[in-house]
Amino acid sequence: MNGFAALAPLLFLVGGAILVLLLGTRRNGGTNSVQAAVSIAAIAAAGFSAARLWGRAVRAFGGQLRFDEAALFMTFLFLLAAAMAVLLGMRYLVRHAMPRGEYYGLLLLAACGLVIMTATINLLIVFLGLEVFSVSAYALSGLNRRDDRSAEAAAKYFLIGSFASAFVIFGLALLFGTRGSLDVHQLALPETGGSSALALTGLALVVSGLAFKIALVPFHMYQPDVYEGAPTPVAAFFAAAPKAAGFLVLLRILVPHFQTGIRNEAIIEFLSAVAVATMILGNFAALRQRNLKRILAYSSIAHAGYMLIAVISGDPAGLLFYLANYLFMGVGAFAAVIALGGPGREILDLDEFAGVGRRYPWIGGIFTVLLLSMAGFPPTGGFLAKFYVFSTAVRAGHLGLAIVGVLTSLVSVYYYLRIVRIMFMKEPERELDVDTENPAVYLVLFLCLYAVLQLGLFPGNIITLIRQATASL
Amino acid sequence: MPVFVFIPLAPVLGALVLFLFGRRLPRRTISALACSTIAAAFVFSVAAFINLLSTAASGQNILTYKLFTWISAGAFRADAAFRFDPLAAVMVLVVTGVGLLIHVYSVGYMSRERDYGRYFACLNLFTFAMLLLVLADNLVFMFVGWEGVGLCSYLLIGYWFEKPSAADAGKKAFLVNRIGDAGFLLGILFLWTAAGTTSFFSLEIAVAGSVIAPSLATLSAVLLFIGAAGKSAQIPLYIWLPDAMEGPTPVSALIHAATMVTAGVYMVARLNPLYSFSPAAGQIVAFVGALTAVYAGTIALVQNDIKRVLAYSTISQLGYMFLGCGVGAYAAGVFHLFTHAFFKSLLFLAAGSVIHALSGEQDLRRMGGLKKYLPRTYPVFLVGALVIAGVPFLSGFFSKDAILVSAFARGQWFVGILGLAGAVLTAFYMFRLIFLAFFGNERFPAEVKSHIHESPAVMTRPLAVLAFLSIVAGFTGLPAVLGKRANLFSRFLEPVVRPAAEGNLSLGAEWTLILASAACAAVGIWLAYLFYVRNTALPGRWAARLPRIYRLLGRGYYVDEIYGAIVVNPLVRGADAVYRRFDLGIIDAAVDGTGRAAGYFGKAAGLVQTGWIKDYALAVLFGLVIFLGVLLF
Amino acid sequence: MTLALVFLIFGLLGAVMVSMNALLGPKKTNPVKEQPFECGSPPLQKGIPGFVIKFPLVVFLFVLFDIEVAFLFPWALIFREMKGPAFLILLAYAAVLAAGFVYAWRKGAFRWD
Repeated sequence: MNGFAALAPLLFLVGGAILVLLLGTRRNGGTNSVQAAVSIAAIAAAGFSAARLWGRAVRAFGGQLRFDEAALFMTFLFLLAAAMAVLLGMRYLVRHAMPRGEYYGLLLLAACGLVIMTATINLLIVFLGLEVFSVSAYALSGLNRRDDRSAEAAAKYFLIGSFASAFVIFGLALLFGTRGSLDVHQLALPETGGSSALALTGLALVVSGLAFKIALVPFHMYQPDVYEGAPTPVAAFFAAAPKAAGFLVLLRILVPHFQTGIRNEAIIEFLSAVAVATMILGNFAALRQRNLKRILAYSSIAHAGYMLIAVISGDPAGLLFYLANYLFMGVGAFAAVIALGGPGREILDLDEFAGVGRRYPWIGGIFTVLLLSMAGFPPTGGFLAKFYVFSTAVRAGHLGLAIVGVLTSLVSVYYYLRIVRIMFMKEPERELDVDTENPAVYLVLFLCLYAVLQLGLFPGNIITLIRQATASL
Repeated sequence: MPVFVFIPLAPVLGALVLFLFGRRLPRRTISALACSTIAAAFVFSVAAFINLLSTAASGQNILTYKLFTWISAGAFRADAAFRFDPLAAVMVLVVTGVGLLIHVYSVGYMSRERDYGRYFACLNLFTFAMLLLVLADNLVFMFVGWEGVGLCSYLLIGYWFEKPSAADAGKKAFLVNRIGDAGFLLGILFLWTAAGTTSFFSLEIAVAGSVIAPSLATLSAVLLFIGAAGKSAQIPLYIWLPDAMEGPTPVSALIHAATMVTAGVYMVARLNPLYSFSPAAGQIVAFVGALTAVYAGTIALVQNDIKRVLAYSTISQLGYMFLGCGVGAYAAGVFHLFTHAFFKSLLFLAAGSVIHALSGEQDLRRMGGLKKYLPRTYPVFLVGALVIAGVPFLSGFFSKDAILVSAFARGQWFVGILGLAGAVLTAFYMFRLIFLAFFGNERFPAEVKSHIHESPAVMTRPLAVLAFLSIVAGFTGLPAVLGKRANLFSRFLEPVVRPAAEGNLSLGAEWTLILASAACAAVGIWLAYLFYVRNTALPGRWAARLPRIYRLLGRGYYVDEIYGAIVVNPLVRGADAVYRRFDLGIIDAAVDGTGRAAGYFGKAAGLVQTGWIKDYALAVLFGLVIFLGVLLF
Repeated sequence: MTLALVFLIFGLLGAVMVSMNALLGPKKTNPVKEQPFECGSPPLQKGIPGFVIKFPLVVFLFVLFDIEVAFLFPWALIFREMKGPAFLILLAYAAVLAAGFVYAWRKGAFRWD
């Protein structure tokens, strides 16, 4: 029965997904709000059953599925992201005449895949979750079938994603061949014989595949296109959730490896170079963009760079705190884009944002707070997150990384504040057709605002949770 | 949770509701909500006061309650914590009690205003901030309330923001207060470096144990006093208060007479161990207070705007309070604060009633003979004037006398004599106002006359209550010579305010002083009678004979102009030069250059982003090969 | 250090070779060569008459279900050991497959015309 308890979160998600898909086939019965309600209920049930697992170190299927506190913490993040994406989608799907049952169903399946990815220490199960997520994600990004950009996004995501998946599976094969196991603890054992070169190649392949999911430079290039083309609620979900899963898996592989594995200096060297490149490229490329979704895409790449610093300096707590923050900042920013959209069309070009802050002060104000948080201004959560990451980096002796991080954060202030300036300082050129009857989106916006401020002002409780989570790693 | 924690709660809830929904609620609801929240705060205050009396009997007279740790950075620590002790109890009762009366009065006074909800929202928010200020357990938390009352003062002075003079006055008050706040903040910082704490309790211990270096203590005490001088309108930062009269009259009564401007006095009294520890700082406080008392009194002599007379009078009375605190008679200073809150808000509200009756006329030269038109306002105004003038056995007499007695008892003859001189001035300008407004010829135009009406009961009833309080409040602190129930007030404050060192004034000397100050009041009133009733040509003749002095006083010693010439203009011009030369020439150029370079870099980064899948795949492969190379070789 | 040098040299060599191609190679283009598909059939023409677009869909669905059913073989291998629970698991598996089938059906994937 223990196994069933561990399976419950996944069962609720999959069951909800099937139910919503079937509801979507009905001609009249499956209205939008019913499907959304079913999805939210499934997510809530999954969250509840996951919460019951906290502190019980539940294993199932011979230890293949293991819900330790770190996995549960991530599960909550994914479920929150999925729930917010459901809320964001409700009105958006109608406005853009997109298939609804598929949206909710695939979203739940994607969340399910991410949960599987994090709730194991066996890399084969990780791959299973990765593929469950990826296949759903390819379809999600192409969901707006009448939009060429959406189709382009899906095609690019699928092709490059398959490429990365192939890397991972090849790497797994090499690892299994040399080590005889795919348990992360077995992988990290010091060399006892056999070919270390093959094992290291396998490790490099797996890490590269994960770097693709996290969108680290130079594995990042699909991301701006996918963010731009994918429906905005989908982009909101992609902004934080898959990164979080990728980072946790990276952590699970590297934490034992840094203790007992070999060639650790080389790995740290490479990851440092990647972090620097990611921070610099992400932030500088964002400077030139005029499309808001592309700006947010590059900004999410840059944030991945900061988070990688936490991995390098061996600071899981800082990483989880940053991820929790970024979840709300990222989803909230895309929510603001959705809130400012009109029927059938979204405002994406920066110039079109002129004056919307004054016309819609609530949306503009919350968007501003979220952007300030991304830029790392106190008293928001973004500030504390960066502060923790950079200070532990300095303490761990990665002074250079921290300096690059601070400098590129300064660069990022420019493009974040440019959005604020355009929203509040410039006169609108014409009246915008904004659909303001969108209560679900406002709910998400206020939730994100609250979360960012709570994390910035009173982070005590969440840090206690994170301490418990990292202790289980 | 102890009951005093709930005192600030009701006003902040009221303010929240009114800020959010004030525009949509009907006026009756707004008035009811605003008044009932303050009434609730008052009830809580009374309950907390009674509770304090009962716990004081068992020796526990300082209650604290910590809400949460607010800031904790390294060794620096500040809690959001409340402290309820006799001093805070007095302040809380004054703030909520007088505040309640003024809220009720405002219902009548503001009834014709368009933006009714905003007014009461600000007033409620102000009450909340003021309660935070007086209940705070440490300087940092107190600073929150300190800034809050400053903000509300700014909002309410500029309540009629369509009027440029009101908007300017609000800005002036805010900017001048900033200077004071800078001093206040620096003072907190120095105090923290010296004592390692900002909580009043630990500060008292640190001072008692002489942990603080005397020089640092003096420095921080003086800096804190700069903050107090800004908030409480003392030389040289008093210039904002006369202009603040642009706000609605009830605001002048509540914020610029009874409560906010006394925050500085309260703070000095609260930090009395520090000021007693540093005699130099105390001496500065006493001198500035005494000088301000006389100086503002002389300006008040010739003002023609009824509210400006009262504003300068407030500055002068605040000077008395600082005088008391400066010579070490903190209880006397707070006692004067206590009585002043009643009679000065009474005077302001009565003046408001006069202005209301005359359809907004504030100039004394266009009043006169109002006695018969305002049968309910006149007596209370007269009571207020008698009290502030220091007529014996009224509260103003006792509190002022307590200060002067302490000054002479400590051998501070100079400030004591200044105080006596100020008493003559006070009686004179106050009765000049009475005679000009209520006696003599009717100098207002005919069409105003047709509109004259006594104010509604909602306005006059609070006046009656305040008049009653102004008369009797003094009996809580009778001088020592008047029997055994004397000095109730200072004995109540004893746990917080260390009892003044025994004065070496003999019984006879004290009686002499009491008689002297009564004589001062009499002289002032007699002079005013001489000038403005017996021989009304006299003021004009004096003004003609001494035109320079008359103009000098009328313009408030040209202080605004002097500040403009030596501080404001050079600053503006300097800032402009810095902006042109440095900002545009160097900083902006550098920033633009960096920005442009960053932009080019971004463009280069964009070039790699071709949009072709084969390039994306190539990049992935590139990354992998590098990783492999680094790992394997 | 030598490692970095090796990488630099070989990296440069690679870059030179790739760019040489672009620089030196003859660039003779013609419209046909610029077209996305050049397998002999012109990209713009009338569609092949009688070709039914539904066909690939059915093929995909067939392959999908075929593969899923193939998973029954490993299940059969352990059925003897697990008995009852294994049967329940199979039922759940089949139910998911059936749900997928119903979904495809309701979406009209099997409708030929």
